[in-house]
Amino acid sequence: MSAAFHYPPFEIPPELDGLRREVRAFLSEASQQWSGWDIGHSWMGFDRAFSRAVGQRGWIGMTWPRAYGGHGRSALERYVVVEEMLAAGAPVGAHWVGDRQSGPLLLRIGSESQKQRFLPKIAAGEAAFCIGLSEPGSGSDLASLRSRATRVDGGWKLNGRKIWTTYAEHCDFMIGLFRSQGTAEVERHKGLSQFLIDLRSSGLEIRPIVDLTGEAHFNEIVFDDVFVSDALLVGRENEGWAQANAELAFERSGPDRYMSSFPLLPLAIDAVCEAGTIDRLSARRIGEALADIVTLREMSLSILGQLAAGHTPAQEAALTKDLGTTFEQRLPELVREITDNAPVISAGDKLSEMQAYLMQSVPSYSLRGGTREIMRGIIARGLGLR
Amino acid sequence: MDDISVMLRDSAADFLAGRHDRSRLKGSIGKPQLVDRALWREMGELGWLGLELPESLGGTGMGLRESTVLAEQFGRSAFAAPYVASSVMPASLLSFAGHASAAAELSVALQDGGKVLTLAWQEAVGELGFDAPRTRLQDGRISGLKRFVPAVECDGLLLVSVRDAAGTAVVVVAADAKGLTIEHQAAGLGSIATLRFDSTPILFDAPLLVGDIVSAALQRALDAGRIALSAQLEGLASGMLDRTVEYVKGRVQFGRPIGSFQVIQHRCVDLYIAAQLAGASWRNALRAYERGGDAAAAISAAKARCADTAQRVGREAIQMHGAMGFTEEADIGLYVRSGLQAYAWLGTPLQHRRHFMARAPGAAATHV
Amino acid sequence: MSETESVDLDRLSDEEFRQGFRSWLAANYPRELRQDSHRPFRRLRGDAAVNWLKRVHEAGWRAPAWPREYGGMGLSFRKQLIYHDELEHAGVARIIDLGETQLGPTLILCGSEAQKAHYLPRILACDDVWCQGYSEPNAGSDLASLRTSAVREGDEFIVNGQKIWTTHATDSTHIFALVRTGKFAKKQQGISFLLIDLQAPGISVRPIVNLAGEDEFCEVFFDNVRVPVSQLVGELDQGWSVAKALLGYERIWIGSPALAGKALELANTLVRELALTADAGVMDRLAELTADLHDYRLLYTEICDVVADGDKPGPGVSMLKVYASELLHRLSEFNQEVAAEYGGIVGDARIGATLTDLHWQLMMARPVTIFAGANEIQRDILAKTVLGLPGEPAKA
Ligand SMILES: Cc1cc2nc3c(=O)[nH]c(=O)nc-3n(C[C@H](O)[C@H](O)[C@H](O)COP(=O)(O)OP(=O)(O)OC[C@H]3O[C@@H](n4cnc5c(N)ncnc54)[C@H](O)[C@@H]3O)c2cc1C
Ligand SMILES: Cc1cc2nc3c(=O)[nH]c(=O)nc-3n(C[C@H](O)[C@H](O)[C@H](O)COP(=O)(O)OP(=O)(O)OC[C@H]3O[C@@H](n4cnc5c(N)ncnc54)[C@H](O)[C@@H]3O)c2cc1C
Repeated sequence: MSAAFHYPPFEIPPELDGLRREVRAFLSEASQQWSGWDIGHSWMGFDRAFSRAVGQRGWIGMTWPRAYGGHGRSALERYVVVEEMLAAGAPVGAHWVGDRQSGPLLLRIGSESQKQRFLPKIAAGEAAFCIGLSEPGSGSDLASLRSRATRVDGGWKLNGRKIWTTYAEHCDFMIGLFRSQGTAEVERHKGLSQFLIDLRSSGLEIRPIVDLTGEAHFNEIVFDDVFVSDALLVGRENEGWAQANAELAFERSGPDRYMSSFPLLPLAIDAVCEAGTIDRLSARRIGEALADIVTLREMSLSILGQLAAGHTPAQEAALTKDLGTTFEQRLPELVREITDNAPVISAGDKLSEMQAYLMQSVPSYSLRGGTREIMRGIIARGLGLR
Repeated sequence: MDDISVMLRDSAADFLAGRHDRSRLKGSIGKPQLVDRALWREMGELGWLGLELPESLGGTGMGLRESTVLAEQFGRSAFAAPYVASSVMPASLLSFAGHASAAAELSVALQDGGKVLTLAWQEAVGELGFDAPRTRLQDGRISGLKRFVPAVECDGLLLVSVRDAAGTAVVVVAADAKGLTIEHQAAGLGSIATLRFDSTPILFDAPLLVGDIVSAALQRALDAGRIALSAQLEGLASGMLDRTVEYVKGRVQFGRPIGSFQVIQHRCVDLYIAAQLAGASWRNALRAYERGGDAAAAISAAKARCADTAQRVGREAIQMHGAMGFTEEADIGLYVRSGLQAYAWLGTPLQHRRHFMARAPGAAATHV
Repeated sequence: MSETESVDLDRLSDEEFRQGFRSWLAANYPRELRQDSHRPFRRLRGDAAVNWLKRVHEAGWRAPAWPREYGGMGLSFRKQLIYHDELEHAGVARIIDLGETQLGPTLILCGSEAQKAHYLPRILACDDVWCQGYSEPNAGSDLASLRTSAVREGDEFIVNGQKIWTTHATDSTHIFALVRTGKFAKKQQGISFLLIDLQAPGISVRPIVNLAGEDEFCEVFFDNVRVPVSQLVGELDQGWSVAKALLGYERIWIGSPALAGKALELANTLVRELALTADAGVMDRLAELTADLHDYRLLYTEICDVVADGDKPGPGVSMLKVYASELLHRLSEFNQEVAAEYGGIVGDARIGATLTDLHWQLMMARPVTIFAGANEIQRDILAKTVLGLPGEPAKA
């Protein structure tokens, strides 16, 4: 049983401290304008100008070859940058998906022309990507999706609906998963294909959906005979399921799965110290939170190491996501208990602004990117229970 | 439940089904919402406002028991009216009023729903009691700061706890009086306000309540408010659970309703048990209040339990609704927001549990 | 003439009844057998149990739920609640007296006249001591898959097979058992309810030591054991309904907050003895547990009141067992954790003026979530009956 889960240690060498300092300097400058509400958004903050500035510094597509606009740096260097961005609550949303998911996917299985066309733009912070997986009838059970790709002359026609697509309204491109063969009942994951879709294509309508924080960050997209050319099929026809799944270990174990509410913690520590209200109990609980985050970081780094060595630690990633999102979700609660912060916004007070946003948004952490229950199903499989 | 309570419950359910359109509450996240005055007046016409008033002030002989029936129903359908803040608590306070003509006038305004009354007692975050208000009364004018005051309408009437040379008193101030600045913030499905009084004139020339009775009257109003709020919180929890159970029965993934997965089933069961405990707990507080003795421990236990339960059910309800639960469109969010405000208002679970412990050494269990 | 026979119990007010029983217990229950910090869930068995029950019987306080015509007290449900409340209050040790709590009421409902006339007085007088033979190695939660067989041969059943987890079988004279007498499409059919003398040839009993080191339960083996057909309770093949007849009431008693109350007393003692009252972290946890028990008692009382007013216990009573047992878990864990190094001692520890055995209380609290229908099974029942959630669809 215990053989199913491995977390070999993987460390960030001290040589990277220079890079870390560079990123911090950049962020301390950029963060002057951010309100607590903004910071609370973490990687859901969408700011194209910021993404371009990050791109200019060479911090997007860091590990990709220079030929495609990348910078040939190591996964650890990227980790340092990502971690600093999240710690500061930087608005990385406009390049997040491209950097974390779509770019690496294209690099691995995209055609040469796709790589040349899209990767440099992502790395420059110019092209924002979104993920088109979920549908109204297909969430956890993604393989039941029904949106259809039908062959036509020179390409494909797409029909159907995608939903919960984060920032579709603001993005340029989607990598979408469509049924290109058979039916949802019979073929399930056998007949799915991935396409690169220009969100400005005709026949495509994007409707914003307001979420619990009052913002319209996610969207419903209706496809009505949207044409995509053959050149925009990603990877191989009917292989979309395996292609999409290969990314999940990346998606589920990064610092974005335990640091989304992290910026609260230092602010709260400052607040209680300043108010002089720190009692033993609060101190102990802050210590606990710190112990949690340090452990999560070790786990996350370990998975990074395994990925870099060519393994796919799917179960470890699911476990880390479950623990990590639980931690991120608990943090605002903890902070509310140790600081005397009422859940109302006092303009200008970063802590209370951030708190107000996070109290409303943390429930989504255990839904997005695969729900807690689905993660636990994967973990159970790792234990040999299913 | 007695007959009157059953009748009230049913008529509240009818009223809410017909008149409470939840979609009207959408699109307002983060914006302070004022009271829907037309609905408030209708509630007055239905005879639901000011149930705690004594017959001498036009009361109908009903009281907190009946208010909790309504409050629970309001919770069950995430109704936004500030029933606890603007009916239960003011009515309770008015029943002690010494200033007879003022009390009579205010009672009428309260009962017919023409005005929205609210208590301004709290001055700092985390206060459970009102012992020594720093807001001062001098020569018919008050100065000071009140915080976290719900349901302040621009033509509203504020019942303000103050201190003067003789001790504590409660005065009435018009919300549109000179020398009062009001800062509204969004909270729950309504608003809370910070009130800054700067030589603000009081109404009726004299305080509504003075002398020894003030502290008992305020305590009683807070007690009543906490109990009714607990009932409302339990209603929120039960309402969310009902909706969630319906949702998981209908939502199909992997070829079967997600409600047929044991994880989901067992979680719903645990939430059901939690809601049952919450109900038992506020009903006990109500009985303790009606007996008239020291109900502090029972009330704190109830407020802590019901607030925690609403919070927990809300969290799990969102999770079981999937991404749909994270939308404004789904009603769950309304419940959760409503619960967030009621969670902290009149004391958080942590505060109340500590209070309960201090009052109930060895948990002096109420034996059968 | 017993003490209670001289008074008409129905005429006593609840309060008078309470006082009467309370003072009798105070005068009669041996101090040294009380539940205390050392043994918060103390149980009596063997001679100690029988001696006490005989005394209870002589004084007329035995079998509160049985109708008077069968020698019981015939108490209203409300007075039964008071009765149990007073036992808890006085710290009277628990006795697993399945003759009184299960078999007696079952016979009263489903037994033949001869069975009632023979067995009921003997249960009251402790002439017979009964244990329950339901579970088998491969039939626990899924009890209906039991395989111990009873084949009719003339006027007798020949019983073969094995029971397990039979509590206190070594202290008992008889066992009431579920056995398979027929094969039907539905496995709940074809089960019969048999009364078996443990002295019968072919029976062997092997004790099993539990986590607390006590030989609490047993394996019982049946090797061609002959049981007269007169010992069949109810109809042949209908034993499942016989066994289920009392279920609702059983879940009420098993949901009693009494054990949790004792564990909380210990918690308060520990916190005091270990001078932890200034530790806000500990006190917050204790406050939570205290409030949990406080509110649970309220819910328990509400549900009991409904039954006392004449309603039959509904499926919702399953929640009592679930909550009470898990609260007991949490309390016993708190006690063990809060005691720091003392919590690691297996056996007696003296903490300040208190003698306690934290290992014992922790371990004795474990099985409450397992027996009498494991909590997972109770949740399944609640999900389906109370919340109306759908079952798992049949495999295509
Ligand atoms: C903030 C946010 C952003 C998102 N962004 C995107 C995006 O950009 N692109 C995109 O494609 N999607 C996105 N999603 C959608 C996300 O991937 C889905 O919400 C998720 O896959 C769950 O699907 P669902 O919402 O339909 O819930 P359902 O699948 O309907 O699940 C409802 C509940 O049932 C539980 N459940 C389901 N199946 C089982 C089972 N077998 N056993 C036990 N429990 C089960 C779930 O865990 C959940 O609690 C986003 C979601 C959120 C909340
Ligand atoms: C102290 C003690 C005294 C007992 N005394 C007696 C006695 O006197 N007479 C007697 O006949 N029996 C007795 N029992 C046995 C008791 O009734 C059984 O232990 C009980 O029915 C559970 O069966 P099992 O032990 O075989 O566990 P299993 O049925 O094997 O269950 C193991 C675990 O799996 C879980 N599980 C099982 N099915 C499901 C499901 N469908 N979904 C989810 N989870 C599931 C259970 O909840 C449990 O946690 C006693 C048990 C104990 C612990």
